[in-house]
Amino acid sequence: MITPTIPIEHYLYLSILLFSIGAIGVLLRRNAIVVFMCIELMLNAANLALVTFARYHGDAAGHIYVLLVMAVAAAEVAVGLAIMIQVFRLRRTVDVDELREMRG
Amino acid sequence: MSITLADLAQLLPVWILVATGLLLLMYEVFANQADRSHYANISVVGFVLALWATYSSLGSGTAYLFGQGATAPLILDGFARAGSLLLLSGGLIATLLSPAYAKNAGHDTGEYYALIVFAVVGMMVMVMAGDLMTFFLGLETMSIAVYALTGLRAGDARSIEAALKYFLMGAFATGFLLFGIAMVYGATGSVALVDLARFLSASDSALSANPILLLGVVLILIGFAFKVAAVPFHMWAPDVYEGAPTPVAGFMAVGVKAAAFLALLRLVMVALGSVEAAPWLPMLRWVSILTILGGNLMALSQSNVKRMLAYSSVSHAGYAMIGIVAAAKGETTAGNAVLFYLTGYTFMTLGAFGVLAFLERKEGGPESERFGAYAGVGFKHPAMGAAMVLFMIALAGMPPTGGFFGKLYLFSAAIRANELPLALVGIAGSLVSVYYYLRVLVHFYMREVPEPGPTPTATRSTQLSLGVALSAALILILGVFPSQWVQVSAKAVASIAAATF
Repeated sequence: MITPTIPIEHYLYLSILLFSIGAIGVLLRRNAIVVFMCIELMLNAANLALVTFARYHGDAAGHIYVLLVMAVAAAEVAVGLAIMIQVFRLRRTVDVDELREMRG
Repeated sequence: MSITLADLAQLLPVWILVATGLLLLMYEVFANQADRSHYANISVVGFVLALWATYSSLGSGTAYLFGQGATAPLILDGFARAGSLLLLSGGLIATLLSPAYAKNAGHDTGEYYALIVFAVVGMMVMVMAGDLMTFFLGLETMSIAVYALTGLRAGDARSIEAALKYFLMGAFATGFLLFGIAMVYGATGSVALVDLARFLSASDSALSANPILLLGVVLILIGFAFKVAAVPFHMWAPDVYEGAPTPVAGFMAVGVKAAAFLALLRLVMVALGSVEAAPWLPMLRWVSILTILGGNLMALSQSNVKRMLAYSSVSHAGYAMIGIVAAAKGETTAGNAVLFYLTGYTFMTLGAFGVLAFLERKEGGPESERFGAYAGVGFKHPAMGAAMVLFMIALAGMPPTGGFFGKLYLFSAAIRANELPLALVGIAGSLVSVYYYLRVLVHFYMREVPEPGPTPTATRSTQLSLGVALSAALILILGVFPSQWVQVSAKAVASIAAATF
């Protein structure tokens, strides 16, 4: 009996698509929280690619890398949200276009 | 992977720093509030001990930690040790510059110094990393600490705005870097630099037949370009350097950049240099040219001294990139030139930011950072003025300072690698830069002190004076007796070349 499997390309295309949506979102969206969500999307696209390749190469290390990346992303969230709360307290907005104290 | 006690003992400088950082955090909780002046001293002791531990192991051979041979995640070779010496001295001087400024700005807390210490730990991991994932962990350890440092003046709109911009751009760059690493892993089945090198040199057609690998390498290089603020990925740098606390801006300008360039140098020398006519060479070349021209031209039109130094650090990233291009073409002296250049750059830039921190007024604000605000301060504070003369001359690349030899070695390495146009662009950029560096000195010495106008009132502090004096002495020593450090760094860079395969 043949078990139907999804070919590796499909995972890759999905991952590249997610990465592109994230990158374009960072460039187009103005709300800092949404920009940050787009960055998280980029990181998770990388995670999907890592898991896919780990399975393809039959190499367990790739799975561990994903766990490392998740831990790093969590630390980044902690610092990033703290910064955004400070910005909101001071400026009552987290719109990146409104933040223009410095020019030149 | 196996973790042995012998391997752990090799990492003594890292453990010293980690212990210092934890001690600072505990001290913050338990010590009495009047003892604030001890934070910087504890941190300085930690840095000096770590420097001593690194220096005493400088002569020992290459150690592969937690793994087999050259695929080990941490490679403690001469290059990692020399790079650690440089990064630790950067951390030490940044710490010395901090206490007086931090007291004025109201962030004289244990976590401030602990964050600097942890950032240096991340940088050391970056220069030791033998595989891309370890490098990524070091990079994030450093970056997350520096994001927090940038925003520490929490009540100040400019500081917190700088922190948000730096955080978003930094995390964006992380996304590129990580996706690039994932692609390289997919193409080669490993993240170790030597495996990438083996894969690249296995067959010449490997690249053209392998778009995934090419995409991965290009994305990793874009991530690096963001971190070192190379044009066209530099737009965050001026705002962030202007808004961050001045000693932190100095620390970011030297530490983050030096660590990223050293890691890039290892990547290029171990793996990417093994490809003839690699498709990323033109990309690196153009980034280098654009960065030198863009950084220098934009620095010309600045009216804020901190912003001017920010663009100047952009242009210096361009000079260092010349060395990376030469190293990617297999020029053996290029790595040495980059390491020497980064050393000089560390001391001259930290020193310049130190003088600015010394002169910054308590109420701060953008007005106190304009060129005009420094009228006549060279006479009011002769020692600091003299130090600033030295740093500006060094940044412009004139003798008798380390800045001159740094550029000399870089440009001659470029010429030896048949990159004459790059060297010419570098020389042209240096000539332009003389104008805006000397402009600072013109205001320091040749403008009348406005009567009875406000001149920057200095913050006296022995630690700050010591930090500036140390930078001035080191940049002068590098300029008068360059050969000692050249020999150390040549041996260091040779240890990478010897370790490949």
